[in-house]
Amino acid sequence: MSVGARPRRRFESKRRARVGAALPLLLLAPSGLVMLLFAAALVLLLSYTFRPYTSIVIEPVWTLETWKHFLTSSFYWSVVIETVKLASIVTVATVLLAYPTAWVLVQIQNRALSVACYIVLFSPLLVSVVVRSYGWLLLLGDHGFVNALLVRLPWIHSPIRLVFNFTGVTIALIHILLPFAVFPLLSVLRQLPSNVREAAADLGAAPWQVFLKVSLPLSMPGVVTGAQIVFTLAVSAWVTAVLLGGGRVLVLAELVYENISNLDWPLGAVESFVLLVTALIALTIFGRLNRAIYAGREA
Amino acid sequence: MTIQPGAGEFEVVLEQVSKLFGPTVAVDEISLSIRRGEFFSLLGPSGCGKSTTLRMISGFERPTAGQIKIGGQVVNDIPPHRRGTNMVFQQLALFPHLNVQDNIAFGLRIKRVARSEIRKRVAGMLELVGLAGYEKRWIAQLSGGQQQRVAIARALVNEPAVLLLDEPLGALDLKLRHQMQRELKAIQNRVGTTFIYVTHDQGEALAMSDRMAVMNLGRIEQVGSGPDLYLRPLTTFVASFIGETNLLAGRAEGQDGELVTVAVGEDRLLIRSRQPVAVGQEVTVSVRPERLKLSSAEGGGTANGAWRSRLTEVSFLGNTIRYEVETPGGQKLHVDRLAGSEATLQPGQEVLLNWDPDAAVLVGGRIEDAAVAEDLE
Repeated sequence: MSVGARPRRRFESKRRARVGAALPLLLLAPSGLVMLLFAAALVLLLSYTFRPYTSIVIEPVWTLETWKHFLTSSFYWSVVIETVKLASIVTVATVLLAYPTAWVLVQIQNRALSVACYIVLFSPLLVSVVVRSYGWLLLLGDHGFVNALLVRLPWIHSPIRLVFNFTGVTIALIHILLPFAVFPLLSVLRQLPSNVREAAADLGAAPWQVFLKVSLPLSMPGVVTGAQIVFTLAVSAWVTAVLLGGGRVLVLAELVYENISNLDWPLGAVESFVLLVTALIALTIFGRLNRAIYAGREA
Repeated sequence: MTIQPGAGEFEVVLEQVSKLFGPTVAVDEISLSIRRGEFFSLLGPSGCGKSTTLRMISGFERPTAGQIKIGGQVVNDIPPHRRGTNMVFQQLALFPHLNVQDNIAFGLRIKRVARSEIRKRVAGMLELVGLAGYEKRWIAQLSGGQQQRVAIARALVNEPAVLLLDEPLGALDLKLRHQMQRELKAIQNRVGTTFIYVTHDQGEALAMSDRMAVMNLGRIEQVGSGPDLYLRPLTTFVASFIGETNLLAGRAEGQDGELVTVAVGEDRLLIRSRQPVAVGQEVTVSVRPERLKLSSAEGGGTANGAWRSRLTEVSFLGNTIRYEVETPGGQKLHVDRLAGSEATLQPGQEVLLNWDPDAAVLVGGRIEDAAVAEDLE
């Protein structure tokens, strides 16, 4: 560098430094504000878990009673287990359905057909969860569309109970959450290079071997991301569980709602935190999985 | 070649093979016989059909017409995973989710080769391509040249009857490319597998191939060894695509034995031709720049057939000096001389242009069919 260039450069960098230092802060401000409010709410909620519950007022003393009450009760544990079971089954089923769906969507060459499929798949996202849950109530009811078809089968004599139980909640949640699993899979499958599949075929792999040994492992990040989203949404699902569970499927989100409306804020707060921790544990496991898959791919 | 002529001589045979993509003719009735153990190149500009031809041999494209035989067997209906060919892809197509060792072992595992055998052969391959000790590395941790070697090892470890290479060195920088060319040739010599190599780089094809086919517009222009194609091109396209040349359109004026006099505008040129040429026939002449001789006009009388010309441009190219010369008839020719061998001539100077009748060849086709700069990339 020539010596003559230096002063000018310093001047420019000074000016840039003035604007440059302020700009990121300005850009961060809105999200920082949101984060701050969120963190404050969490801290407040956490503090509630250590307050005793007396009707209406929250007393200014600290206690571990609520935590003890929750953690030692087999009822609450059964709800936690039911919630995790529901979310796990829904996650596995949704991903299993989403994979072939995304696979076919990527293969479709015809533009009009492809657009139609996308509309069918993603338009439910525009409809409220409440409406969709009611819709499933109608479809799955004893005299609903699905049972009307089922009773026509020779070996089914009376309608099968598909609502107000675990099955109904599972079916509805799978439908509601399917697009969230398809989205990440679509982007992964679309980026799947065709030449590695050709290379596998060239090395002697039959089509199913190409899928198992190349396409599937390379699309695992999409599977994990989809599962992550679906699990998080399923574990905290409330409307669908209430409407299609009919009070028989108790999940954590429902307990939170009930206790808060009964003004038992400390218990509601404990349940909220258990829900949060459950989701975080699941996310961590999925994150580990993803990292294990990605290991070594980057330099 | 010491191989006996006969049924077993050719590993890959193409008989009038065509490939159409919709109405577009990618490959147009080509016939080729590639010898066992040969390093054969398909050479041509982008879009000439060379890659499509390779993909038909590997099974990724089905010929629209014609037959492809590998080892004497017609393979038209055999899918790629059941062919005795292996391919090194243009973008390498290594498996990013597998390490070096697992990439190379992929084909053997599919074929359920015994574990100990796999270990032995993978180790042997890594040795061959100079990557011993890299077994556990991930693909993304390798340099371009190392990835290249893994791709070659992954294909060769299956001991294919034919190894197909689709411009595998295209992504490498020049120095590395030259090194890899030498290594590829050495590997081919050692394993003795038939290599079919697709490239648009004539230098690469000349450096490595035993024989090559020059392709243009879906057809084969000429098949031959490097010297064959360079010294005796049959068409203007081959003459201009392989090396550089001066193409002159002229008319045969007379033949005296093998010597043909060609009129190029006002100028007369003497050429040795093995084929008879009819007087009055339109011909195209190809003369390599290094086969033309220049001398300063003051240096003695005009030799037989020499043109007294004017030097219009001089460019220094390193090992050679390129002169642009204009003949009395207005023809512009390039002449190359080794740098430093003689005193440099000056632009504007009068020079004598001389040639050996053997230096020029008659080629088929018109000058318009010559390879243009963009073909050469």
